[in-house]
Amino acid sequence: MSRQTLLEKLSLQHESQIQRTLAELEAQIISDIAEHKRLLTSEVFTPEILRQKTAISIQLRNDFKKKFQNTFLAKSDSLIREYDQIVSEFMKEFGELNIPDKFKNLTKVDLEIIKALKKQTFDGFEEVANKYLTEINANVYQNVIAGRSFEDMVKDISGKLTGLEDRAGRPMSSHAGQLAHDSIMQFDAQFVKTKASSAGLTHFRYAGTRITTTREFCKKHIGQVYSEKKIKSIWSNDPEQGRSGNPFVVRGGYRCRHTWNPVDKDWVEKEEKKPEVKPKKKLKKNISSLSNPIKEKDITILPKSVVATELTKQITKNAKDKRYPYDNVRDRPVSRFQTTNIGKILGMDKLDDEIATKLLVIMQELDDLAIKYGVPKLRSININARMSAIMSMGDGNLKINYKYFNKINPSEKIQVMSDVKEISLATTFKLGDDLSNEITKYGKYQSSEKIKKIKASWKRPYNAFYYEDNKFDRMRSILYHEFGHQVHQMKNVEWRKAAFGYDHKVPIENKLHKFIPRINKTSASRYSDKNTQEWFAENFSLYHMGRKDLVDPRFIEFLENEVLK
Amino acid sequence: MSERLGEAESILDKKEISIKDYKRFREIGRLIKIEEQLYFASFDEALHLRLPEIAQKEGNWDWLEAEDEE
Repeated sequence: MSRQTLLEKLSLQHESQIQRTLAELEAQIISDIAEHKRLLTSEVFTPEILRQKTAISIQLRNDFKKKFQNTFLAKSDSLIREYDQIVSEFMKEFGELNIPDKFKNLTKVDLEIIKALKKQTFDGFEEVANKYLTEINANVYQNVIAGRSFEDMVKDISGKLTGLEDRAGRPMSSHAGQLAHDSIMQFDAQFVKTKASSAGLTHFRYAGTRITTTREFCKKHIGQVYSEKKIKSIWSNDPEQGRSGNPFVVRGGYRCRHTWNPVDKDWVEKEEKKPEVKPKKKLKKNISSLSNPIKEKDITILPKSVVATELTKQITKNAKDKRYPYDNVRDRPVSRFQTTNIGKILGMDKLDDEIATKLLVIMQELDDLAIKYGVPKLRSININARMSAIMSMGDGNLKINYKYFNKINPSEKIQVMSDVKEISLATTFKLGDDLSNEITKYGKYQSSEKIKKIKASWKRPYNAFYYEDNKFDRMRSILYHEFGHQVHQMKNVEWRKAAFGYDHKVPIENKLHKFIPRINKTSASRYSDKNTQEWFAENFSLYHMGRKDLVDPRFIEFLENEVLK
Repeated sequence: MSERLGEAESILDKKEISIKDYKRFREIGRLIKIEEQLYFASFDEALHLRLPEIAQKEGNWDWLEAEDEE
């Protein structure tokens, strides 16, 4: 894992762990108050009652303090210990630079610096804890004296700890979440700068990726290499830089995800000697559309680095679609699937050039589908081989399993997209064929005889993509299937802001369940029988792959009357 | 068809799916034979769509297994 990836991973994990800890703290504090509910909310104001109320308030202060220490501060401490991973990743990268060996290891001074930086970070968390503890104590005391209801007290405490930003003041969850993120990035920045300076490195690259929320200021500098002097000059003179302070620490401002990476002296010297190269005119290649899809033979294979640049542009733009809501409290785009790489492409390096190019080609067609169906275009791609699925979709976020596509993949012998039996079924099946004896449930059959019987009963291929006669169109068919999920998930979806996150209504899915309450072998693939969503996606794929002869007539009825109306 | 594939399918066919079902499904995925990968791949695709259903019940996403992590 690269340092950049580690930083992003830790930031997300720490932020979410802090949020969970605060929810736990909130529950504990409310439980403490609930124990003394009767006395605290009493509207009787005799001197004895007031004395008892004051005594309980003082006791609660001590209890709250312990709880802050045992939950929030204990969690902060354990998270800060994980910063050692950042040091370790940086030292690996640093060791690859052309610098004297003596700088490639951690020294005693480095360890002292790490310790001091961690202490400084913990102080930041402690400061936040003290601020909110003081506010909660004062609030509880005032409410107790005034004899307010238990529900009002709970509301005030929730507002301060995990509430929404539009309540009076900023809740601790928002403040601490940002702190969790920024502390990691600042720890990294300070340590990296110290090590680089000690090794005499004076040039740094502003590194990191672009996402939907990337500031214009950061966009201008991503990938650029500057001398330390130049950095200081830019950071103090550019009005777009919104946060004052040491440029190596503040970088683009609060929640900035970018880092300064030291650059070799050799590289700097070489770069300074390099003549300026005029950019070449771009050639328009591999143009494809839904109405005029490109054929495999007409595709020019591009290097995946070129594909990555093009796809990143497309995905970054798509992710800005306002139909995708943004959660201001958590400061991230909303996804029911907890996708964290929105606006980005992960794992592009895993694809070979051919498959990467084909993906780029079909992505143009998917954008056309988005326009046709009035749904937002895809907003992230994650390429990995951890899942078993060939691809999957969730709220505009596409996952692709590269092991099923790459040709150069000697360790894998999976023939998922070229199973001989399934291909043969696709050549013979016609809509309307008798399917009454087809066995589609696997059940707990084990004997080879029973397996033979099941296989012999099959009339339809398992997936719709088997109807395509080449691997490129099978890939296209799968991508169309996944886009079918985008249509039933996102068409006319209604997002409503709730206390924590967003609620949503998915009208097409609701209509779909009413329209097809039970699926019974009405489509051209066995997988269509799985559930209504797969029935929709399989037929959607066949429909747009030009195989209307195989599309369930009920699907066309649903598409025309409910989706396209 | 193996018993495991049948079990994975029965999990997917449940009206309500729980974290226990999810964990079992993932266990099965790691044991599935290469010749059954074709079917399990599609089950996995369908399961992905049901992850928010589990998250809503659990109130968090801490239960995700490596296969589903970003």
